[in-house]
Amino acid sequence: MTRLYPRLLPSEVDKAFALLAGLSPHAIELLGLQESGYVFAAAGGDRVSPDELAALRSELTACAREFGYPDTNRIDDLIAFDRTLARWLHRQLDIVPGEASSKAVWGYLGLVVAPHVAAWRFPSREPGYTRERFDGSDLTRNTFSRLWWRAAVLVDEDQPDPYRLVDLLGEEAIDQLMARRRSLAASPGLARAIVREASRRENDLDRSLLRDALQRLLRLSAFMDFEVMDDFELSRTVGEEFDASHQALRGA
Amino acid sequence: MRALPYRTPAFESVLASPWVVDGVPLGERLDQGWDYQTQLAARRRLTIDVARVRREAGLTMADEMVVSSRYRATGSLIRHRGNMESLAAGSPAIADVETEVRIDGADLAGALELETTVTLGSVTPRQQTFVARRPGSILWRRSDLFAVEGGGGLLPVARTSFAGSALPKGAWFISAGTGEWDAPAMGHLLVLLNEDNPGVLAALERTLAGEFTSAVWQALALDIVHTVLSLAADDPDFATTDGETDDEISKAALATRFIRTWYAHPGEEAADALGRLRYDAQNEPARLRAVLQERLHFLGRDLG
Repeated sequence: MTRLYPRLLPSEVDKAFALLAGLSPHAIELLGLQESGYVFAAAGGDRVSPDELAALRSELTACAREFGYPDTNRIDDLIAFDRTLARWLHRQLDIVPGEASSKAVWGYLGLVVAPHVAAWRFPSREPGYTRERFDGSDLTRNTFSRLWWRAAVLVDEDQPDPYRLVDLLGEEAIDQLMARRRSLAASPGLARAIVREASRRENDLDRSLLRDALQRLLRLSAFMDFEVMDDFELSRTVGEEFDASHQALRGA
Repeated sequence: MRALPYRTPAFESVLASPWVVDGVPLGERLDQGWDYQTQLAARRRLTIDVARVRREAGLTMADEMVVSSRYRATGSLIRHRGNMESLAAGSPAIADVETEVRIDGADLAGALELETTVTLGSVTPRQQTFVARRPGSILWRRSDLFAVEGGGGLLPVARTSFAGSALPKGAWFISAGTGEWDAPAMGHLLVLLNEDNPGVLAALERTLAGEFTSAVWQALALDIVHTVLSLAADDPDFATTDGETDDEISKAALATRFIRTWYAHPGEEAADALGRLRYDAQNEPARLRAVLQERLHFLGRDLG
């Protein structure tokens, strides 16, 4: 049976985020688990207990510590943290896509369970912390949901390492793909083919090549049904569009 | 209408039956309830005028076509494909095809979209222009949307148990953050119905007389309107909005709509009505509630 997580009430988001203002990640951790208004989905799974939420908070903190929390946040460490946590969240949360679609679930995780981890991963910059990294308003931006969904889209259980694709691309490249969650990233087979092709071109992959190839694929999706293609056809189609982008940009 | 780089057949060259689950229309089946454990096999029949599709799309008799369906929940967004049926050379001129998708309740959130396509399968090499040539090219498609959560209305409504939560154990809770009037209403307002409350549960399950159920929902409607108008009246940063766009409705636009519908006099500008609303909320709150009772016909309809 899947697990159900607390859903932070919309009226609690402002209050929870305001608590973080001006505090360092460690100071936020010292606040402890704050009392907040939440509900669970009515049915369909087992509710996580307060003890389990406390354990989850400890696990997330321990994971962050491995990569420099709370004192250092070098970019290489943050990328490694993201990759490690993406696998961990997808394997350990035991949350189904329907539940993981709830913005309020991720808002609870980011603002109540582990705001200190989010604050370390996305440090405060003038004028303060970026709200979307904590609340669930954008699932591609929340510190935790972005990683869960990245793993959920790219996981391939037929491979010896199901999460290998999560590690293949840099942060910016993977963000470009996942930002198109409604279109290209909505087809896991296509998303995996894009990551494989992009990583194959690692040496000449830059932001403009990937962006151009994604735009071409997006245009194609208006009249092509990627769902009926097998992996071979998907790889060929994606490869052709990357080739076209490469040619176009080289000639530009 | 989307312009495609190739010819496509007329929409009526393919006739699609409604989606059903065990003989029950899919929408009706979803209304009966679902959760993350629910598994549904949704089916529809297609009658395809194969000869006409080939002719109007410019395909040869050797070109294969593929019929398939997929579903996507608007919350999780991930597409899941059902079975694929091939219409190869030698298919009858009129083909009856059943398409099926197995819907996993674990994926459901928001609304459920089912899409059926007829696409080009394997093709013979060709020179003609304006004829589909890439496998996967969509020749025909139909999309159907079904509501699965209370996200389709003006306000999201969720049925839940308040036990173990920090909420007051009332019949319902209207969660509405202050400020942020430009934010989408759907993300900032939430009506929670407490299924632990016998009256709410009876209304939800329709186990009591219709008059009782109607009274419960009328009380809820009054509370929602009163809550939203009170928030607007109390916040000096709130201003009524002009018109509405196709974009997601904002909290301000929702409150403005409520003011126009439930508080403004006929012909009165929303901004003027807001001025009166603020006066009533501050000086005559009992009158405000009574006005809303009148405008909403509270306990004045469907009660025998």
